[in-house]
Amino acid sequence: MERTEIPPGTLYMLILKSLARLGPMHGYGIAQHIQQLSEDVLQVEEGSLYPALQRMLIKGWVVAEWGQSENNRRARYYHLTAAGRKQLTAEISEFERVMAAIGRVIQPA
Amino acid sequence: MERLAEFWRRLLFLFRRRQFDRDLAEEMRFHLEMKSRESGMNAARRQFGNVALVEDDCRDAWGWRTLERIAQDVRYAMRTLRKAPGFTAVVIMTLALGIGVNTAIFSLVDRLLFRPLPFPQSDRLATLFFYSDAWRMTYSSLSYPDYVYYRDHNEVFSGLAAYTDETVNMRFGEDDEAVPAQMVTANYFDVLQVRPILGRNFRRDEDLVPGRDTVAMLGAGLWKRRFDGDPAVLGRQVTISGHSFTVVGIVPEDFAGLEIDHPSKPELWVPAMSYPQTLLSDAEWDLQHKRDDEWLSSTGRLKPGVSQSQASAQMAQLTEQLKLIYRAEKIDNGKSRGLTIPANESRFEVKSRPTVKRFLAMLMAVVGLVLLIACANVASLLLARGVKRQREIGVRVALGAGRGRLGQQLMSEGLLLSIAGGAAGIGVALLVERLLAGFDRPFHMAALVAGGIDGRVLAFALALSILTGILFGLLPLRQASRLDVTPLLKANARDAGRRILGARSLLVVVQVALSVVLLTSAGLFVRTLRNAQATDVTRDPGKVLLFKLSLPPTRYDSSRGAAFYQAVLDRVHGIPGIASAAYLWLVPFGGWRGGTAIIPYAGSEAEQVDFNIVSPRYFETAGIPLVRGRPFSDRDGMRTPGVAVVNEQMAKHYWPRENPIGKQFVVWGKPNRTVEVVGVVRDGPFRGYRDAIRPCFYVPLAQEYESAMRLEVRASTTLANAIRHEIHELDRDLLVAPPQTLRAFRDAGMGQERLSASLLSGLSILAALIAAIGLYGVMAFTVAQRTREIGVRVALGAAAGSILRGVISEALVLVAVGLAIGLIAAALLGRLVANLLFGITATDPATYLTTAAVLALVGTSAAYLPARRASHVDPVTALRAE
Repeated sequence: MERTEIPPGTLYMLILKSLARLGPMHGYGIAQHIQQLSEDVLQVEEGSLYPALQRMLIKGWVVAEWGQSENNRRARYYHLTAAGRKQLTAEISEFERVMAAIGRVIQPA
Repeated sequence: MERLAEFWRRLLFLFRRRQFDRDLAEEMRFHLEMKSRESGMNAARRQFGNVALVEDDCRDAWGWRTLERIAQDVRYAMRTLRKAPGFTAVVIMTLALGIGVNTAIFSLVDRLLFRPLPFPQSDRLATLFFYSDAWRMTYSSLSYPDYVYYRDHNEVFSGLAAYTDETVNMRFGEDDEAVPAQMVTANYFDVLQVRPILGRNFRRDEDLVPGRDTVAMLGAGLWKRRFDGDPAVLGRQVTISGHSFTVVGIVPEDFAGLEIDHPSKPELWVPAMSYPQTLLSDAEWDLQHKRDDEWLSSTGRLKPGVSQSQASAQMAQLTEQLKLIYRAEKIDNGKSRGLTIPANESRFEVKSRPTVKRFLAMLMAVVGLVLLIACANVASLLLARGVKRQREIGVRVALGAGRGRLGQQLMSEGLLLSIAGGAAGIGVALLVERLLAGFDRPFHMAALVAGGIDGRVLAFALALSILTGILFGLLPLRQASRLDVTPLLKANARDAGRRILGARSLLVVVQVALSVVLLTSAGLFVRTLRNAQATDVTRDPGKVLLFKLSLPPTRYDSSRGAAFYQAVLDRVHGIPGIASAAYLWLVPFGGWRGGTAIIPYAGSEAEQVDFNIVSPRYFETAGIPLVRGRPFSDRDGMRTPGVAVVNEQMAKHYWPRENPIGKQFVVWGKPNRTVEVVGVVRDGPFRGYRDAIRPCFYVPLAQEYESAMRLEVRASTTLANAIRHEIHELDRDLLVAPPQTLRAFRDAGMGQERLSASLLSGLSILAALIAAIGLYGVMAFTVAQRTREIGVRVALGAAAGSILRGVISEALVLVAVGLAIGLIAAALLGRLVANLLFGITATDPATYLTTAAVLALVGTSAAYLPARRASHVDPVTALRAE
């Protein structure tokens, strides 16, 4: 199965959307979720995921809290904040705008 | 708002770093564990990649990377330095000395030349000056009516104030104190924009009528000292020169007026128009209207928009108008032109400014040399250390440390050293300042250095530290950047050592050369001081006390004054332990010359000679040898014939090859009077040690009354208070300042020479020591590097003595090269200070030879220990090592 790198700039949006859809998740869960929903097309590298989460913490889009995982281990859960929700809306509309523009360019004449 | 919140989160991170690292590690473990359930541990690890790298990236996201690296570097540097305590101590000490003396001298120069006066917008203050073509000098004195003229006719100043310094006698209960005071116009503090910390400034109406308003403002220092800082002092009466004054305000403690070179800070202010009380002048002395009594200086604040040059132009124009009045009133005051000088530049007497600048430039140059020597030494030490560390550096390069990173690391070590050196240097600076305070002249050091070290000086020390740190931190860096890793790891540092030996030898040569320059100039200035002091013809001047007496003409006419002088002498002679006492008008080396015209022979033209007024026993008290004839006696008086004692020069000049005793000459005056020569005394300079010896004669005080005299008493300084007490018994209100010894008085006039001699001696010894340490270091290093070779030579039968001589002569070659360069440099630089020297040329051979001998000795001693070590090398051990 061929796996594709996540297009640059969209990782934040994917993480935010995952949290918006399923509520608080740990890093591993987020990676799994994106991979599954994309039917294994999108592969989230740990080397990108965790630094991205740090930057989102700094921006205040998410907050982190320790909690109990499904297999009774201590895991760090990320919650979406109001600022994060706002950011998600902005990112999606921006993404759609760009996609529509690209679509227009590559449309058969 | 969002930015702020973001910054706050970043900042919090700094304080939770440990927690952060633990959390992150746990998060990673959790992730790996989850992943390994899915695909097995090994595959999980492979896919995850480098955990440490991910953690690093997470940390870096918070943006503190640079800071953390610096902290890491500093920690590392501290660790390495702690491992080499000897090296660290020597480097820090060397730097502390270099930075310390520079900081101390800078603080002096800053206070004297650079720092603006501590008033609001002091660059808007301009001081009035006059140039006299006749006297060829610039000076600031003007009369009160002239001040009023400038004040009322100018359009450039928002306010123009006038002021003068005067020491007055203040009485506090049973205690009398000579207090430095200023007589100022009522607007003085308003023009300077200085607010009293308590009470008020003078009112305009308090400075209108002479002698009417006796009000005073006290300096906060005096207020705290004498009144325990009691606010109730406002409205109270204080006694100034025997008159009662009302205290109206307290002046801030740091206020020192417009001039910075006071013997001591003024601590009392009175209105200029209180002169009938404070100046103790004659009742008919009408200073308010007299145009030829120039007792004030004047400074104004420029109106907004008016430039300094506009002000100067208008003052010049007003002076032209005043000159018409002078002509009409037949006043010849020599004023040719008026001008203004920014107050920030006129805090010295203008005429001494070039000398002051040259002298300060010399001081800065000298301490700069010391810093260079110190830097050379530290660089040399760092180079040697670099060799020892090459293996360590090699290992780090091999492990993948970037050169930039390595450079940063070495640089932080250099900076750490130099900042530690700078911190210690501030201690040294304080010490040097304390020493400087002991020099009363060329500037009144005590008042100048009283301020201690402030922000500006600290900034200077810090900048100097960082600069030196970068300078010598770069050296090992250059070394590191040339590194080739492979040979370094092969354990043999010998070749690299040889390469830097050349650099270190060069540094030693530089140090020696700089020390030579300092030692030579020290020699020249010490000889200058000796020569200057040798011009003093008095005997044991350290055992003669000098009191200044100024009898106020309001209370003392000439007969009451003469009686008072005699009464004081009688009382002083009554104190046990007093050898002799006498009066003198002008003290030699005081900067003044008493000049008068005489008609040496009947019918000849009048000629200018020096003269002085003394009482009987003066020559005995001062210890000036009498060459022929007799000194003055108590019988020489108003009713006996006029007599004079002349110096050898006068005797030789007017009565060559004749006995001068019994000769008569006429002293020009109102009226002329004839005096007869009764004695001849030894020649001595009058105004200062550089004076050419001119004809000079003395007349007895009993025949020429003078209201301002000096009392000279040959007695121990412990009797000073007893003598002052006796004088105050006779006149409570007379100002009697604590005495100086005759030697202190003389040396005060040689302050520049004393400061140069002491500073240069101290610094050159320091420099020679540092150079010796440098030479020792290089020789020890050479010997260590060549142990093997020396071992071979010993094994082949070389005698210990020849090895010892070999090492020492190698050291002496370095010294000789430095010496040659240094002597040439000294000869060239000597020309710049030639006119500061006295009785010695800038290329004095004896001084140069002494310097050479001293350095050869220093060089030999520095090389001796390493040489001995070399001669004791055991061939077997040496050959086995390495």
